[in-house]
Amino acid sequence: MSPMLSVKNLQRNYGDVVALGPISMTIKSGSAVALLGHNGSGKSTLLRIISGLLEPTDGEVTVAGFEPGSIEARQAVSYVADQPVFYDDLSVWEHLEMVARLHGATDWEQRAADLLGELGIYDRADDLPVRFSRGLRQKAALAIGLVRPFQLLLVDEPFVGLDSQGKQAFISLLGEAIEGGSTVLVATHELGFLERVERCIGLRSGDIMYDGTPIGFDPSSLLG
Amino acid sequence: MTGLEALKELRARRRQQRVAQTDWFEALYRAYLAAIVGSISAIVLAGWLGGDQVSATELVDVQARGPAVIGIVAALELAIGLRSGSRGGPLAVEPAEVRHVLLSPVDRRQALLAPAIRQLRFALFTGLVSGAIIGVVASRRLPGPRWEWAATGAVFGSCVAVLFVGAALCSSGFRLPRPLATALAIGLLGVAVGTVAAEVWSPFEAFGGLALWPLRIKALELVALGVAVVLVLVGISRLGRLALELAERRTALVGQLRFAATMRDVRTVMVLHRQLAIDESRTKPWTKWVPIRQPVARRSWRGLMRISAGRILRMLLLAGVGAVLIGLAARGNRVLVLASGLCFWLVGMELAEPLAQTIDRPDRSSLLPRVRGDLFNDLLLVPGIFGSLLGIPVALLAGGVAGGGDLQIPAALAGFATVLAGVAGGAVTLVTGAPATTEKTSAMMLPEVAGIAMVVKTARAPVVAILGCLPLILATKAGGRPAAGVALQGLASVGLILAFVAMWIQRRDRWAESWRAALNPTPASTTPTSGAKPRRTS
Repeated sequence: MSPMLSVKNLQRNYGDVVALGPISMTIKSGSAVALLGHNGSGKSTLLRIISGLLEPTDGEVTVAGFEPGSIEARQAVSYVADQPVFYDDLSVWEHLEMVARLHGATDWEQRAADLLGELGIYDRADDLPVRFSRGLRQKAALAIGLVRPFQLLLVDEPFVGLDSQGKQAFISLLGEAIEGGSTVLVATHELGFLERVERCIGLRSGDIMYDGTPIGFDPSSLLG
Repeated sequence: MTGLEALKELRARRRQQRVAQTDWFEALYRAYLAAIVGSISAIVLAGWLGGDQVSATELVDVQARGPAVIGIVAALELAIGLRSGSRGGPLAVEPAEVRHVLLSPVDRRQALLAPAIRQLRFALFTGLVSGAIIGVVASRRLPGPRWEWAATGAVFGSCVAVLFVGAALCSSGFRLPRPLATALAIGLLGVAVGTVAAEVWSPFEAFGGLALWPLRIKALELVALGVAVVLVLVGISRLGRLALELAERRTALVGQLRFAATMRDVRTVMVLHRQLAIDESRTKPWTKWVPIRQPVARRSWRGLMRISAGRILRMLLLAGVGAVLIGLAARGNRVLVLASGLCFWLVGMELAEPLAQTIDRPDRSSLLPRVRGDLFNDLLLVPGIFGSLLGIPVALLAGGVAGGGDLQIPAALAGFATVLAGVAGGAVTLVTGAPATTEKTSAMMLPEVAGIAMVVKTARAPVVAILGCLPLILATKAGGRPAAGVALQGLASVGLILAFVAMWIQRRDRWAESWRAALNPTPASTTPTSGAKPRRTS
């Protein structure tokens, strides 16, 4: 069985600065993986490359056997960025409708309502998310990322700005996604999240410093 | 329903919502403003060109060299298009469109087709209108019915606009690396200008020739239109290859850029344009050697030593154009001093970058134990020295272009002075900062007065730069006196203007404070001044 994500000698430079790699790894289908590292360690760069937003300087990446950015990969990957972006003139519900329908979801209404309910923003469905606070924006972005079908969920710093109810709801939704057979890769600083995942990848200055179970992970290994 | 069909339906719904929310009064007002600006531009252009018909000899010259000279415009559009495309242009879709639509499993070419056609339509309209206006203005001096000139002007304008969009789409679709796009752009411009200078056949003649059809018709020149259309079609076929990273970066910056331009915030426009061009300061300075000990001037030197090669090239190019314009102004087209002043104002803004960096971070400068005005003037010391050094080749070039007449020395002196005046003008723009939208004093003024005040505020910095041409301007009005002597007086006047600008920068805060105090006198103090203890208040 081919892995959900395969990364071979991946490298990304910004000018003279090496932001990532070269790194190699594979992630099997249905697994929950945490990506840990300090600011500038390369977590967001890695997620953006997998999502197809960034192109690697060198190396290969495949998602479900396809190149990031290809239609098949876009169908498979759902990316929730650390800085959510919304249309100025669409409500949360309209965003959900748009994203769900663009991805071919048919019975999206019930799914959308359930997601908003779990995240505690059902009564804000008709409001414009561009006017939301940081936490509410994060919740809206999570709902948009989860409303569509996906095989690989990439989430960048999901806990920033979330209240405890939001954190619990997000963890529960992740659990549902994993149970449904999806693969989840979450970049975070929250060490508490490690107990929810089966694998942990630690990045430092663009290199993989740790790749294994959360039990054996020593956060100090990520310090420079 | 496929994703693409869903996208079309959702876009149509958004469009309907936008149309329903459109403020038609505001839209009409904008159209009215655009018409006024267009009319004024046409009148200014017409005044610049004059109303006399060209002589028979001049007409022969226009027919022979005109196509190649006008072809430079086409080369310029092509060059700008190539550069824009290599930076993710010409499309500037919404940031949310990149995340939600371009990352969805919808054919990107199809998804981007509508924005691309919108862009093309806008470019066509702009080219058509400006071409027609220029055609009408040209008809004042060239033989032929006015409508013919307007029509061919419109065709030429549309053609170069399509050329720009096509070049940008191709550059983006073929993922041209930025250095390659820049090299191609410089090469194309070089060919266009070089062939004009050498008076040999130029590949851009076909484009320029279209604009002169009322004088002579060459059916072969229709090839130019074909080239523009083919470029657009090829570009559209490659729409799906748009680099998302560049598109995302561009979408965010273009929105801010438009807002800053609306607010007439020149500094922000400049900074955003640099970001758009991915023009960053050098990590390693050109030299680590710092010949100055004064700490503020040292900071200035270090900042200038990190200016990128691209910016240096841009400054040199602008300075070269400015010098040539002064030379041409000395030869007869006096109004060119305005354009020259604007070039040096932009150069000055670039040179005064260390000052801009300090003004952009008021929290830093306010912590320094220095009067702001003194600090600003110290920061201008090194840009002033660099300006003086740049002034020498500019003076030589301006004098050279002016030819050997009486106005050669005045042109050279004006070249030197305008560089320094440009730095002063740039400093005035930076120190003044972005015009505030809710200034108390403006709010109290009548709209007409506030409007004039706004125009004066916006124009004063470029005017300072243009005043650098005083040696030339005064020499042209010398009457019987020796032009060189009058030009020296002009140079001294520029010196006085520079001194006044330095004084204004130094004392501006104090003057503003006095002005505010005069407008809002504090109520009479109730504190006893006789030395008696104040009474307790219960």
